[in-house]
Amino acid sequence: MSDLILSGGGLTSVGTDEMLEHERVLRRLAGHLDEWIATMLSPAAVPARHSPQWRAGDPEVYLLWARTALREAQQLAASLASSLAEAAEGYGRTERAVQRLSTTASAVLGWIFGLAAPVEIVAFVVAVLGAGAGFGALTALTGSPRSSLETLVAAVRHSGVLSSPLFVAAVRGAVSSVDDAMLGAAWLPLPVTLALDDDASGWFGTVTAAGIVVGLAGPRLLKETPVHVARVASPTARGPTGFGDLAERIPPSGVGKPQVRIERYPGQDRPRWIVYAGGTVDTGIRTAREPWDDTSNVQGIAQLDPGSSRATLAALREAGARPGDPVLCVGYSQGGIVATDVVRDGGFANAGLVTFGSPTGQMQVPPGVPNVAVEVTEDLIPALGGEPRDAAHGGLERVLVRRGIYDTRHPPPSTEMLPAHALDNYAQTARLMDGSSDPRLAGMRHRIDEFTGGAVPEVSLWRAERVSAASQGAPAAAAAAPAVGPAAGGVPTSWSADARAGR
Amino acid sequence: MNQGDDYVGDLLQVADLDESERLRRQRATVRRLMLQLQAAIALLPSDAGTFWRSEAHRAYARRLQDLRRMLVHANASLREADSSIDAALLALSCRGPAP
Repeated sequence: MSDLILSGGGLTSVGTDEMLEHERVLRRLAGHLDEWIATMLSPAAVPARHSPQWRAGDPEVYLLWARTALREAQQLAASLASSLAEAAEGYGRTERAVQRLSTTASAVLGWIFGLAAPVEIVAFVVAVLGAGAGFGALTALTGSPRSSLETLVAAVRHSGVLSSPLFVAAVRGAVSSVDDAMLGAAWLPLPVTLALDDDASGWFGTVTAAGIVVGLAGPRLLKETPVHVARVASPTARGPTGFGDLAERIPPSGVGKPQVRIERYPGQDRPRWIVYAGGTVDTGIRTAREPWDDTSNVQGIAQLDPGSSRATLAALREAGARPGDPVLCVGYSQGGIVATDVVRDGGFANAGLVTFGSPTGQMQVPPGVPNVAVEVTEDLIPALGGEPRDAAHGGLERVLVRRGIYDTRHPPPSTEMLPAHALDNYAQTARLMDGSSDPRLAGMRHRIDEFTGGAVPEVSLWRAERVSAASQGAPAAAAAAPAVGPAAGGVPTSWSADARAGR
Repeated sequence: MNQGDDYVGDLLQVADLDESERLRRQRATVRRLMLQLQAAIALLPSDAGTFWRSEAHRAYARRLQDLRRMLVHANASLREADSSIDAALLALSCRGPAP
């Protein structure tokens, strides 16, 4: 058992893995005790002699004592199991109420923020001037602007503020209220803003707001380009047997490294595929060579046409996957957006979706697709996707596994800016999930086992690169395949249409 | 046939048995129950876990200990019943077959 917190999967309860495990053990025990009491009442256990004939020391006397103790134990076990189930339901109710309250409060604050935009612009200019003066003073002390910047970054790292669950929750709320701020800035009345909000209508939310950000970013920033993809390695490996194996197989992020791993499993009628997509490599918002960049992140959250998703679909097609083939999609960080896009737009028979530390809480996933999302509580990146969908909008279908990794005895390391987001933390969490007996996680593990069938897969690693308008046709790593162009934000090509349809 | 018929059938069947056979069957049932109960005690959470830090959690911990005590008590009673059946069987064998 572990400190995992599980919710969703069609259930309204929320509880730690340990608490839910206690409930299952006690409920099973109550059932067994019922059976054993019935056995003890059978003639084989208490035969022939009636109580007036019993004497001290007769087996019937001891059996009566045992039966009485078992009856009391059965009632207690059943009562404890019910209390734990009620506690988990109460936890779930409270969490949903807090989420509703927080969403409404964020929406109102966002709207006020948007409404007061002209004043804020002045305040912002004053703040920038003040920060500039402060930075100048710091530079006078440190000797160079670079040293000042490094000092500031080190101060933020040491404070650990970016790994604080409160900060993460604040960012989640802020991201969720961007749409309301936009409507406030457009001087729409608050009731109209709340009515249009995605939580109420599904019309205008984080997804639409991200789309507007892409539109307002100008002709160069956050704009998609065609991508090339090529197979760069074909290692051999056995198939995964659980969440830990899935997390370990995700390609590690690195400049020039492969971003996609594809495993092909033989099937009777059709092959089966597992596709793994890695995390963001380039944090720039102006596109360069790397498709796993922030342009893809924002395009992905806007559910447009991120280059990383197009590259992954193209890699799947190049590997031989055809529409209707069963595909299990796995992703870490931005890879989770990619995996969700493959599920939504790939045209495959979706065997499941597993995401680690991904900002996909608001993204639509077709109903019925087994969907497990893993989040470290102190990780800022999943919060950038905003508040997850609520119960009324399919939010309960996703199994959400959360785990806190820092406390006062184990503070976040000050050597990294976002230590909670490390893939290692997710791999460790995934191994804890493998040890859980929760039926939702056990069911997904069973599904993975059935999917691979214990077969040794054909493995391929794929590297994608963006093709800028100036350098079309000359990418370093990917000369083998034609470019896959964006369907939005660029000129649609037949390849992009094919990729989106999964052909 | 309903459960009541099963029970009456069992009762008639058991009534037909001689004393030593009845005791041996009783002992087998008791021993099977003891094994199952011991397995259940081993599977019971050893403590109340770490998922709460409140009065409710402490109350849960106490009730869990109560439950363990009840099961251990039931198991001890079954062990006594087993010894008692052994003693009854020994007494029967010393008496020898009925004339």
